[in-house]
Amino acid sequence: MVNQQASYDIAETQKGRWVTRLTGMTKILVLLSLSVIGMVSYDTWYLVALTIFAILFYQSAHLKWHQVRGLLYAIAAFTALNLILVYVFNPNYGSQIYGTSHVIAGSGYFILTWEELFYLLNMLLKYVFIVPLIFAFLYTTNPSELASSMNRIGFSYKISYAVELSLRYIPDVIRDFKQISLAQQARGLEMSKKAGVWNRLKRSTQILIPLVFSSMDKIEVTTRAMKLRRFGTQKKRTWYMYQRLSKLDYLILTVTTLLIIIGIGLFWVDGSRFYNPFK
Amino acid sequence: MKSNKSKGLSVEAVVATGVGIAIVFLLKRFLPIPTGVPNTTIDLGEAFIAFLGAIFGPAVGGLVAFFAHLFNDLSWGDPWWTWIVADGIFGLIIGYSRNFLKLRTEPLTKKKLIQFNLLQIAANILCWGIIAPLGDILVYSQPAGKVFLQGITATITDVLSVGIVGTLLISAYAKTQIQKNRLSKD
Repeated sequence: MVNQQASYDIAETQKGRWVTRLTGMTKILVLLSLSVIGMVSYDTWYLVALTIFAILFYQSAHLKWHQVRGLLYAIAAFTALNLILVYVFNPNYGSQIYGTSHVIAGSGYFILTWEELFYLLNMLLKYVFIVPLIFAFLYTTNPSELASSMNRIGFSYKISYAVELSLRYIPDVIRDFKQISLAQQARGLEMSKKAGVWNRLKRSTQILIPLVFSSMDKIEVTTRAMKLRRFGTQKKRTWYMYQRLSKLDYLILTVTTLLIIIGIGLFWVDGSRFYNPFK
Repeated sequence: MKSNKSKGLSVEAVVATGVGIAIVFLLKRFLPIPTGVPNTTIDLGEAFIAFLGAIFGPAVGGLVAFFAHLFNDLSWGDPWWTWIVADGIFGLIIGYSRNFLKLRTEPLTKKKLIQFNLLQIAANILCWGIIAPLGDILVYSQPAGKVFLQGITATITDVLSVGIVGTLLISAYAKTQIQKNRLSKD
């Protein structure tokens, strides 16, 4: 299982890299805008360009293979399964989109056309183009900066604070969960993977109920502490982790804006969301 | 719980959102129950979203669902926006069950539990059976057969998850609440 380190501290190897020096606000904006434009666009060259842009960040983060290996395998399996499903459910879908049909092999339902392959390539790019960017950001961002950054891009400070609280509580909740699960095992709860769906459902409820009540306590205690410190009485708040934007941030933000403009412009150039090489 | 003068979320709602996101993320990430059908799991996170919504209302339900789903997707390296938004809408709708459940002030009756389950079934069908697949067709241009298969499986597993585990959590919580009419004079 990934990303379970007890603290969120940035590893020594990542310190001093340019991607680590970016402010959280820049990272959120880049991530959000690129993932949205990549979701909408079906222009292959554009998606390739986005992938290369994302790989630049990944390069800078200098991640170790063992840090990302597990996740990469999971993503590969997930993507493969999805692409197979897309193909099996409608092998003719590519031809419907691109309007032509260049047959490679087969006939009848499971016909294989260049259009379908091209469509699947686009699908693949859409699944993976953002992955390097997210890996880079996961390992180089200080979560304490997140709330300040979210507030800056327009979320209300209460929502920002709630999201930051959640990052603060994830390690706690994982620890609680492990303790409860061990305690229940000591009392004879069957934890093997052989059990059927119904038994697994029953035993996870036995873990879930103590977890729920301990978290309700947590909510109460924290609420009291925050009320005592008069949280939420003002319209604004300041942030300890606030960071000024540097030249590097402006550079990255400008490049991202240009990419977005190009992406939107391509809708007109291509005449639709799709780049069609078969015309 | 009266909110203080300032607008927006109460302090309690902020904390509940924070802790809620953490728990739902944990459940989605580390405790999925395989059903035997490939690539489909029973997601206990949805049960917990429904539970939080039933206590703290639509704003908390929606925010928790949205951010927990987003974090889970990010931890896998791939945000899938249509499903994230659909989850947020589910949390929002199920949060309205607070208005008739009134877990903190009134005793829980069978009728209320049935109402809650009708609402969750409707919300699940709307979000996973309609909004998420339509989003995938319109935004991601995926073939309809595939996304509706995924949507319908998600609808069924989530109805089960919320219907069984969510209902259990709500009844367990209701038993711990002190009701107004529990005390009587002799």
